[in-house]
Amino acid sequence: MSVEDNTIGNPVVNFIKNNSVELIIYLVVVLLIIGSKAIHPSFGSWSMVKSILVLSSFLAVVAFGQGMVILIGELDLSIASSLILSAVLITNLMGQTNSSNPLLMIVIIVGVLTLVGLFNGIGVAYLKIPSFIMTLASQTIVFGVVLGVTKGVSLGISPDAIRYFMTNSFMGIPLVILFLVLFVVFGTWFQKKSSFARKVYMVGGNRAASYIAGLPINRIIVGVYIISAWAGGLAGLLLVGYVNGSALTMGESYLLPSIAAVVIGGTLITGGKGGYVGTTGAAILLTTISIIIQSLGVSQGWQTFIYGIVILLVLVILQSDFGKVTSKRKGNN
Amino acid sequence: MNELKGKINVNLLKKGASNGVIISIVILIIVMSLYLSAVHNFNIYMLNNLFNNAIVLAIAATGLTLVILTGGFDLSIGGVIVLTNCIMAVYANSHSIFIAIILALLVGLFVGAINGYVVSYLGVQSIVATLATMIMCQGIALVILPAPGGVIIGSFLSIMNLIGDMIPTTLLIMLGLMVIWLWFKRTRLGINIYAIGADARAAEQSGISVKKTKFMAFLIAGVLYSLAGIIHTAHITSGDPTSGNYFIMLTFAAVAIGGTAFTGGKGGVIGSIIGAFILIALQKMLFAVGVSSFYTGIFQGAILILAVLIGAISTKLSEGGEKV
Repeated sequence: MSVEDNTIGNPVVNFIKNNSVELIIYLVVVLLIIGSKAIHPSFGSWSMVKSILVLSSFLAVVAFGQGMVILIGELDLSIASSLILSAVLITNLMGQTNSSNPLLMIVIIVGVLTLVGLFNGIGVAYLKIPSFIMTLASQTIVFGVVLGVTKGVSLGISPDAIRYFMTNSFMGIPLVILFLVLFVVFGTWFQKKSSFARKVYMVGGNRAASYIAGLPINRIIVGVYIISAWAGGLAGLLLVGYVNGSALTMGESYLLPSIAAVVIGGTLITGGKGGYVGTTGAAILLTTISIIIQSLGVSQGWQTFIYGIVILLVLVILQSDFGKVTSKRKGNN
Repeated sequence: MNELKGKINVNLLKKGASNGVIISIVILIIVMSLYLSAVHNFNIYMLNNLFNNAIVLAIAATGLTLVILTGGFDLSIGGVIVLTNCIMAVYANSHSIFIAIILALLVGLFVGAINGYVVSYLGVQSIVATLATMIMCQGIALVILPAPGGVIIGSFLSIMNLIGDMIPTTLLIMLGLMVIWLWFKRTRLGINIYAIGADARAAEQSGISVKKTKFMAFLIAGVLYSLAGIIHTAHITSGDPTSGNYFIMLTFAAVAIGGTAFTGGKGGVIGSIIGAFILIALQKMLFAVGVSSFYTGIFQGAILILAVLIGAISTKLSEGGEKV
């Protein structure tokens, strides 16, 4: 099952071997940022790094939830709807009248997101509906509710505290970047150390064996979907502070990239293998690429095209012989 | 051993497929009767309109069904439909409708070939590979037509009309699609598609080229998406580079409602076509009843879950609780 059986030998070599996808991704990001100086003189600077990391934070947070779901061998297409739901609730419940009880509102919002996760989880785990269909359905249902209640126009502005958090810095470093670092540390710790995540890896790696071992598979799947809904909601909160408001279109652009980030970051789409450090690296890579493309001075259409072709090339390279030597993935569709 | 297993699988397939079709027909009858009771003066033109709306989704869902039967995913539908729509909107005016159609079909063929090559020969996960080609197509669509626009006129639009004030042309296209499918699924390629979706390893051992079969499924799917895009253009008579995600969602829903299993090897095109019809009839029904279009998604999602759930339950019952 595991290829990491080279326990004897140089620990540095082993570390590189076991984390090669992550190392390559971060190396490529650094090279891209340095190399981008050639495109635009203001690039390659600290301020560019800052803006890349700030913009990456939304995708990285969404991809944490998506990554947990993919680790167990499922998908979550409803994560963008959770993002929109949370953003709309925050601006409408908390932003419009800053006088309302914020603690109660937070409880309500987390509760609503938990319901979305429960709905997905119950459908996938207990009713055995394929996750692609279940979450596609819940995505349209949740979005339909948001659309119907708001009549297509989302009102309100960001609560002051969130706005403050997204616009201020501590010793020259934007607070949200510090948050991202903490989030990655916490996410990685959670995946590596928590007993829940260990079970997620086991179920994702071999569901039949986990069943025989007596793991409560259904409850673990429900838990993973709740985490995913929360992650979507958290990204919604960050976005509300960043754009000082909410829009019904704000989640769409994070759904499919979140799957791409997880896969490019070295997580097996069939589950059981991968980690959040790689996912975050891929989220930063995708954001860096799109920022560089935006500076090329070509039209929106060409930007989109180049972005697509770069994703395809990255996937092909990771899947090629070079990728197979350095990584642990298998050609499994 | 494998032969025996194959035979059992084929029997299960037949059962499952017929289940999916029967369930979707029942749902269709319910939705249609609700629709007919909500409108007072249902006429042939409303029927024509129903078919004109459903045909685009039905053709796209046909292509997607082939890919899903092999056990793959294809998100490039949205991209190809939008791109061919923009090609039609621009080149039908600047050149000729004939050139535009040829160009659109070639684009579908080309995108299908890229998908097929990258997924089956290079081994990239189909969901992310086709995500990339979808983004590329949307980009090119924006290059060709940066904002919604363009007007299509001429005899091309007559495929949206009634033949002799009696029969919707698109009904004939839909029936033609079904007949071609019934022939196709008995061809070597059709059988191979089911075989590799049911058990790729067993298929490989019995001499089927899994790579080639997968490639062909993506290729044909690409052409069908472009055909859907061409007919979509005749329906909306203009180009819109932004409607891609709408098609992805509805097409996947149509295939799922039609009873095709997302694990591959089980289901078929007839169910998907009926699934497409259900989704469109549902939209019309909700509109006729007076439900705000904002809420359409809630009903679409609910019917999607319901259809899959009923399908799963009836499969279980007919197989005595056996897991497939």
